[in-house]
Amino acid sequence: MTTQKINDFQDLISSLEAFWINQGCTKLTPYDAEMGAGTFHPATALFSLNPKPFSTCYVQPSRRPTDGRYGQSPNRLQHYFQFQVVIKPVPSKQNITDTYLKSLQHIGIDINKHDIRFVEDDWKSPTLGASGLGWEIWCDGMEITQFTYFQEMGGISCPVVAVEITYGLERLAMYLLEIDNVYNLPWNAKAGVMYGDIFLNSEKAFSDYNFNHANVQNLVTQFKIMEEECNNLIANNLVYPAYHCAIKASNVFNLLDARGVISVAERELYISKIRNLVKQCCNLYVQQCNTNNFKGF
Amino acid sequence: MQNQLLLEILTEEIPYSLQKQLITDINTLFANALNTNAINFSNIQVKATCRRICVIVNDIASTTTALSQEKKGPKIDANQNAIDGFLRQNNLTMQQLTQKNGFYFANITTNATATADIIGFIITQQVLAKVKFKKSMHWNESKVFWARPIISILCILQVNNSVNFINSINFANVTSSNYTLGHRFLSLTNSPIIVNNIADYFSKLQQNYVILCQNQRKQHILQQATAIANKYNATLVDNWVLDEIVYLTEYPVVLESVIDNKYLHLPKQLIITIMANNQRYLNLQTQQGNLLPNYIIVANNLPKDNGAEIIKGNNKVLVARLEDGLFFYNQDLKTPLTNNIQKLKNITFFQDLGSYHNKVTSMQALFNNLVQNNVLTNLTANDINHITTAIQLCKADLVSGAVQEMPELQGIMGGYYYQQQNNNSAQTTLIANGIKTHYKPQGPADSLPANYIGSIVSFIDKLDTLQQLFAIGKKPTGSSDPYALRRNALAIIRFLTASSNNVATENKFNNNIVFSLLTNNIELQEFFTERFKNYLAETIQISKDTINQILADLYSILAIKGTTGLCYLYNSHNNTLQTINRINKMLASANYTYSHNTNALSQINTNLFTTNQEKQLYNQLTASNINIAQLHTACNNFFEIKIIDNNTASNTNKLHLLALANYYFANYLYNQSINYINSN
Repeated sequence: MTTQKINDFQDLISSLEAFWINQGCTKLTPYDAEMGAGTFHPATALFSLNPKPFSTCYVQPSRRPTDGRYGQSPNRLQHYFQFQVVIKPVPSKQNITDTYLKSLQHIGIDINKHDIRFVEDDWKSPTLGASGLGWEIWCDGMEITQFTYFQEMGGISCPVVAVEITYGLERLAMYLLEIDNVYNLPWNAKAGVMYGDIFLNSEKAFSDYNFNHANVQNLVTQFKIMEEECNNLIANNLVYPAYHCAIKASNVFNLLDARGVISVAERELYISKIRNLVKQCCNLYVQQCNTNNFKGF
Repeated sequence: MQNQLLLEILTEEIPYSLQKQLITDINTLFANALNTNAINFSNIQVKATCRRICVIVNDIASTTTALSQEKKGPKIDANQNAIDGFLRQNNLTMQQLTQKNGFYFANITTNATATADIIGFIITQQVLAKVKFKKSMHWNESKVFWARPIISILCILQVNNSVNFINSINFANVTSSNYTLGHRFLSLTNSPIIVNNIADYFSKLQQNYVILCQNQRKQHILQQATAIANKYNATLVDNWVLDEIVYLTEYPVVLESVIDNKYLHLPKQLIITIMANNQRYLNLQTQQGNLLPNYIIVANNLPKDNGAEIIKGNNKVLVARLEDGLFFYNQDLKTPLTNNIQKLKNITFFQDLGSYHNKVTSMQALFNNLVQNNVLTNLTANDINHITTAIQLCKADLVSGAVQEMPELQGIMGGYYYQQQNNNSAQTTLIANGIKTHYKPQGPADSLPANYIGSIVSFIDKLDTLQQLFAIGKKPTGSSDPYALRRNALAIIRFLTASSNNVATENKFNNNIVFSLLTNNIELQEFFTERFKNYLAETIQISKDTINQILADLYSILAIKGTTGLCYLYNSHNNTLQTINRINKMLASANYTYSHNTNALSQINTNLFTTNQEKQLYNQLTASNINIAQLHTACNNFFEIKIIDNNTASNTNKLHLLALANYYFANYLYNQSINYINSN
């Protein structure tokens, strides 16, 4: 693979996709529910508990309502994109950290000119009941990737460890293209379409929605509905729709949080409720994987 | 060729604290394993970077030590079963037994085994399998846990001028081989590097830009960093970052950069937290302690542009972070600290114990209580006002932007904000410094707060925390103290025992108080007593044995009111405690059976006296009314003569004198304590 110069945001996405496809990853599509990070995608959260080998890469739009800045911050957004790579089992023939460094070269980072560091970072997701050990990858002092070996998901010890590599696409693009304001990133350089053309208006509106207009009572009700639905689906052994509801509940919680209506005690309560839903989904999923005629994921 | 063993475990980047612990642990495990297997060696060295740990065993024996042992068996006329049993147990035949003094004997010999034959097994089972990390992970089917995935294992044994590659180590599905890897980026080759022997290993690492020895990396960084500091007439800000940087690099390259002056007015600790804690830069400061805009980046690469890109990138990141810091600082300054007090209702102090708003109320009540009980003394009306203000505001910065981003700055930012938001006066500075330092001391090595306000607020904060946590059963166990309660108790003791001329406490702590005045909780009182004993043992080196002895000697009354006795003794009779301690040490090292009854008197032979000091001490000890002050003087003079440890009558005589003096001192302390307890 030769290094190609990235000209715009869509270049970066296709370049990363090309690289990892070449490594044997199955390129998936984003999951069609709101989520805080690519880890919530069933291809990561659920499939990581299935011992069958699987490698995937995908773009995942991620929503963190509390990070909204009405389009005023040059680098903080309530909606942004992660590029997620998950490989299971950890490759034994070729060193995955070396492969990762090659991916950086592939998108145009000359690793011989920069100071790339593996800085200790251990990751935990209280809502997913998940944890892993790994690193933040720094390039000249800036974090560009999260690199994690999963140890636990939904409170279950992973039977086969998966490695997760998460790139923050906007940050990476701004670094490669030497742009200081995310809205000035060219999304399609040839056509002159900028990131801001597509997302500035939406960022403003969603920030306003997240902080000021989301109907609190409705959100509280929505959470209850999702919780009830999830429990019902689990009782009926329908793990995929059940997990779908758990993800939705998690997003509703994030919205309530942004509205500023959650006290410290309530926060713990919501988090443990979501974790409980996810745990049940994961348990059910593992059970299903272990049944005799279970095929695929 | 020296007899030597080399073991390298190559891994992905291991976190600094884990690798540091491994360096110590693997040395111990290796030494134990070699000793257990009777393989001699002269010493073990351990070198490490974040990617590899390297154990070098010098002068390792080529074989285990052959052992010949004579084992005693049953009597010659014992019944056949006993003899058969002995033969069976030791795998022997009758012909192999010898007879001596009416008993059967067997000569058990363990033959020497070649180290090369067993070292692989020893390393796998008795070293690697026994390594434990504070935090570890598994990554492959072997389910072995290590700090990070293991890439390769290299083991070379050189004995009797021959090079042996130990290929029998199999750990975490990795089999030992004869290759290593160089520096991730600077290595002359990305392929595995074949190693031919131990000298070749060191040389190939060096050629491929790996500085294996941590001390060498540290020296290299220090030298270059100091040279840069000298250029600006400055010194390096001393902190833990340097030690960590040593392990973040296999080939450290020291680069210099500079930031805009516009951030330098920010609080020093804020800048250092951002630069050192978050970014691992080294800061420079003037003689007066002011930060320079120049700073040092230690990179793990040696690029052709001499680091221009690296510096540019780091600067950008740093400016972004400092801008954030500046933003928070400016935002925070806009809100008077007093406005934050209500917001403290949203910050939980501890699960089940309410918010920080509650805590401040609790602290205020405790303050009033301590003043009433005379635990805090010599406070003017002004003092009380200042302290009240400080208590009200000491936690207000917990809701500030800066502290929410960087919790390690709590207290410090509060102090800065108070200073900036109030009129420029000595009183403002006093309160500001009190707030700023009220989390001190944060450990036995940390200094006390800047002034009496900081000390009193610190005291109240820590005492309140202890009271509240003990009340819900959160006391520390033998092995675990997750809420740092021992540290808090130690701080309280330091405040109570500070000398009257200590500027941090200004004599405003009553140092004759008992722990029961601090708390009604018996467990907490006992906790304080234990901590106090530790403190005495460590700071004025009065051993715990001496203290326990004093307490035991001073009968049951003091055992119950021991806290009273100890506090009182420590503060009012420190000299006597010291002397008793000294005497006990001398008696112990001479193996003198401590006897504190007056029988010692009858054992003293005045004819054996050769010095004036002995005569003087004896006179004091036999006076009709013992004068403690004069007894002290006599003892101090007596300490000048040498008591040689050779069991002569003369020396034993001297020890009797000391034992008798000890009795009188202990008795004196006892009487004083009883008087004190009875009158208070």
